[in-house]
Amino acid sequence: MALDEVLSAGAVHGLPVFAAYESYLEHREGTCPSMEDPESEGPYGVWQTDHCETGAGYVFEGFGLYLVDCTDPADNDMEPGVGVDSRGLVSQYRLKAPDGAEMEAGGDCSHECRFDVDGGVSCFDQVGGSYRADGREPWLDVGVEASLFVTHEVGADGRRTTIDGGIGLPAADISFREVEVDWEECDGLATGTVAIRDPSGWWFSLVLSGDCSGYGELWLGDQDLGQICIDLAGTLRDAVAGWEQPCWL
Amino acid sequence: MLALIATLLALHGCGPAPVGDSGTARATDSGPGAVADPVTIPLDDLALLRRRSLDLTGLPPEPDQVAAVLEDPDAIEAIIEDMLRSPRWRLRFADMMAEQFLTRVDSFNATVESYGLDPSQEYRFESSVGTEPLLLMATIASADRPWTDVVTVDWTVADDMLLEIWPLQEISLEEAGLSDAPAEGWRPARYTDGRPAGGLIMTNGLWWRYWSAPANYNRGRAAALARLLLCEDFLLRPISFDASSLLDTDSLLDATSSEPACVGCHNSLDPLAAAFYGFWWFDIYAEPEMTRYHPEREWLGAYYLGTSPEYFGTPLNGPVELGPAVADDPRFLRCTTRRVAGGLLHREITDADQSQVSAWLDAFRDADLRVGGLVRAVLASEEYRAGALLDTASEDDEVAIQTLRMMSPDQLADSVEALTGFRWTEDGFDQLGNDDLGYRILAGGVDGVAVTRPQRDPSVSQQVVLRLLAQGAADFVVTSDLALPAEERRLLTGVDGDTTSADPAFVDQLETLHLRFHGRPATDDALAEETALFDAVAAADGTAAAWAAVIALLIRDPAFWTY
Repeated sequence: MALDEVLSAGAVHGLPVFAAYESYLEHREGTCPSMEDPESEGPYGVWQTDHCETGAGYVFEGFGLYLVDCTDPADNDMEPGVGVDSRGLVSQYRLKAPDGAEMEAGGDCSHECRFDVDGGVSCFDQVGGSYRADGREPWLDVGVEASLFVTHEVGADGRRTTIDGGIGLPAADISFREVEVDWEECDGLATGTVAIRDPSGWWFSLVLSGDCSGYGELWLGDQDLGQICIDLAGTLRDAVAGWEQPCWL
Repeated sequence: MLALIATLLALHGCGPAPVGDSGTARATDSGPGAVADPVTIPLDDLALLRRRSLDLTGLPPEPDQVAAVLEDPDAIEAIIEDMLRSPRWRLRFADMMAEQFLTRVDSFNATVESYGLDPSQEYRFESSVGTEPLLLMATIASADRPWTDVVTVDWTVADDMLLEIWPLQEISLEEAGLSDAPAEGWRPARYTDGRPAGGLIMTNGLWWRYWSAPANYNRGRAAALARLLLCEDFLLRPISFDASSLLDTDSLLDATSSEPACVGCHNSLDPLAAAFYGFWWFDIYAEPEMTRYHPEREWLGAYYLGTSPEYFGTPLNGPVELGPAVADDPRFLRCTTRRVAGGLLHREITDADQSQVSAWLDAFRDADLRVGGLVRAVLASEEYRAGALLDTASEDDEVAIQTLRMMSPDQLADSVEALTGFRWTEDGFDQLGNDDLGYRILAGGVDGVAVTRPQRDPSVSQQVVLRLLAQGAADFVVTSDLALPAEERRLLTGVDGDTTSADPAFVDQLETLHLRFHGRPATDDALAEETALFDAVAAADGTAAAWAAVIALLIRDPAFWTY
């Protein structure tokens, strides 16, 4: 069903968006695009231009703001012992590569993980807006509209991920309401509600059972439509595992 | 001020007048607006024809309509029915709602450049966006469809530009249940981005105007819906609270759920705001965000506002249920009644009008929620037909009842264009339709942001704009008419460049002009004054300049721009 199609497209999160953006901004050249800070390097900083094209054929139109903070705990004077891996991207642009590939985006995207001296990790990932980048399989390539807020915590009391918001893909629109995955239970026990939208606007809500079966009860309003099974943890597992890898290592 | 002008006009016999030249003023109908003891003197038939024509078509009556009413005063009823069936009524209804819905603003967060359009398209772009919700309402109002369709249909209206830049697909008139196109260049269309049915409340045009700042969380949109469609204005509710608790963001947010004075509104406002997250933009200037509806965000209110969508206490299974909820709300029809009556009576309908509103609402319901039934009831009311006040009128009546109305910028521009062929534009901007490069506010209109209520009385600025318009239109029509064969001319059909005021054709032409511009025969005094003006200007600058002076005078005469 459509819900499986959306989940099989993989976890929607900020890092693939940043990677796609960087792949274009790495080709900036001189004043194309014009950076607010001419000394800024690589893809980082703020730019705005109606239209410009580099000698190599990369085209930039719009506005972008991309900031990165990768602080080794050993170098953190403000918060000794705390490592920070954060990125933020404000998008309002259309980018083109010489081969015809395009990236078009509007919205805010951020990702921040903090690593403490005890091995604890606390992450917040937000993808809000409309994003499409040719060739970036699986979900950026087809275009995604997202309003997704994900937290991931690793600590003495275990590993937990929470999801709120929604994902819109050509296959379907789905919504997460107070979804939580406890990675200490049956390799990823999901609770909360995942809803899928009928094209006419009606929402079917899957209330996850909270047991290790993966089944949930499907509802349309107060009408019980029976049980279905989804593998939410399987979709998330690789993504959140990647978040736990500090940028300075 | 208008009362003074009415008195002067009546004294000179040259304008809308109670029991005027035709001498055919009749007793008011015992319609819904009537009261036991009349407090007004009704307009005579010709003045009433002109008022109804300007209110229903935005234009003065045609000469054949004036002639028909002169011959048979009862002909006015059939003329009204023709007007309610004409495409002009649709445009006029849209203009009337524009003053209340305020969607025709001079800028949106997205611009022509956002869509790669030529900058010369700016006025058209802004006009098309602002007109979308208004023309959708007007299309429903003029079609034989219940008004509740306005918030439930799964289509909107669009012109070529909107069809090109927004996710819209044209649909057939049959599919939309229409017998003719909404307006020239406009067609029914359906959004293809997954937004649910909801008519007006699912249009980009409405929510581009009432967009939400990030920290407002769609509350402004919820308040706009309540104000525009239910006449329920959250901002007018009196509240009292400890201001010191609102000096920091956290306290402010906490107050919306804990401070009793705040909770009173936010308990219904916030769940309603939660129904608008399909229109939530993560970047308020990004074209892809603004252009498309975002179905996946429909439940985002639970994250931002801590509540799921509700309609005044009734849970919604998403925004798909919002339109039907509005349609079922008794406040919706009552509010529509107030808005339509207010548009026709040129004043704000208040709680003091409850009994009249109830009577009009009954007529609206009796017509199976067809707007035409409501309009007929208002047109038949004593207040609508009032040409002057009796001594028995109270002070409240004197304040409320508009015995004389001033043309809006839309009516002025449309009427002058219909009569002279002149549309005042500059670099593609309609000079009476915007304030970026125009004079809409100065002419008495609203820009939808800084000025939100139309000017009801004349002003110096309005007169300056009127003078410029009159001069431009008069020069245009005289120059073009005198260059054409008589049968192809608009106004100067009975004279040529050699005609003098001594020729019989001169007076005939003047009388015809009076009928066209003022909707009634000229008085002897007026003819004498205009002849003197013609002779003076002709002696100095020639015949063409003289005719231009006369036509400009007719336009600047209060008998033209008031009704």
